[in-house]
Amino acid sequence: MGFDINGITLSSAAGTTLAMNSGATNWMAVNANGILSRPQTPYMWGTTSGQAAIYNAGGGNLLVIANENIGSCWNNSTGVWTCPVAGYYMVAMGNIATGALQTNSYGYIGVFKNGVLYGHNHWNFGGNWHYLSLSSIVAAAAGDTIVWQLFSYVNAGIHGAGGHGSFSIALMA
Amino acid sequence: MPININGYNLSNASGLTFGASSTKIDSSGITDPFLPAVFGSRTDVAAGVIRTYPWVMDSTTTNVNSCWNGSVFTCPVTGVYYMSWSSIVGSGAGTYGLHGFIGLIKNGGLLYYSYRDTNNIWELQHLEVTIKCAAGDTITWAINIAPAPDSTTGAGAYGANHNASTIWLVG
Repeated sequence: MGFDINGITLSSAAGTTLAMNSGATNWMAVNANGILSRPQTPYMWGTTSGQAAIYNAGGGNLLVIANENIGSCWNNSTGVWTCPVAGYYMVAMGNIATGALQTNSYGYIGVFKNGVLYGHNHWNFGGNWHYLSLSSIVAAAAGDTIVWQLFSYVNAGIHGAGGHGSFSIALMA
Repeated sequence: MPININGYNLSNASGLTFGASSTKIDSSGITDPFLPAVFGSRTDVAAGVIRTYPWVMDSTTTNVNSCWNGSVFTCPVTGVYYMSWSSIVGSGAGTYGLHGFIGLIKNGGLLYYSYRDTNNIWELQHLEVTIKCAAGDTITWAINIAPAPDSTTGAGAYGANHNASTIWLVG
């Protein structure tokens, strides 16, 4: 028998775990070992695909295609994540980057919050593909937007044709 | 006075506590000391290039709930997990064309991969991503060998330190 708080139910089927549900949707659980999980955590994971082999979006938002998009916070068409609640978001990307066989190839990868650069990384090498990664914890308010963009690049981009990288955002706390 | 839910007590002991666990919510946020997490590195190969599956991580400094069994992480609960694998990768010889692939392997199948494409002797590779997993799902990595793509070259990871990997539950 659950404990109902105006439609939010706290229940424990066996007396060893706790579930917090809204209707049939589980919002939070604490298992017998004390592990706390939040199945509705806003989250996306995706890759670029169908883009140019050297993809920089012309300096615009990288159009990552989400494989998973819990909460529908990510927009494939615009490359924009909209934060549903205030909190700290883990923003991580990794992809091979270069100007494939260019002798002079460099650029920057940036995470932008509400259009303002929040954090960035830089690559500078000629020839072949090299791995580029950037992870950030972004403090955001509800409604804030997060995007990835390349900037100040010369003969360069990430591998945009599929595989070779991934992009993800998840609410941490 | 605690709230008893079918024998499960929610109580206030300097914060909201859950049953007999040490998980707590208080003014500092959520404390979850049994958060599934592993951090470690491979140290067991004296030197040289490793093309291997699954990825052995013999030295762990963190292995909460013993989810990592030495070469595979088993997710104890459904959720979103952060995963990071990093190592210097190469051939040890700087030979051009020794490209190779590093794959993230979920339940024995390739989920995504990265690619080494340089003629440097050793170069850092870093794969990081957050992935939704179900309870019981398994995670490991494959280094230039199936089920990752296999370039059939000699490129691989370095097996004596120079590498670090971590997995933990985000939520």
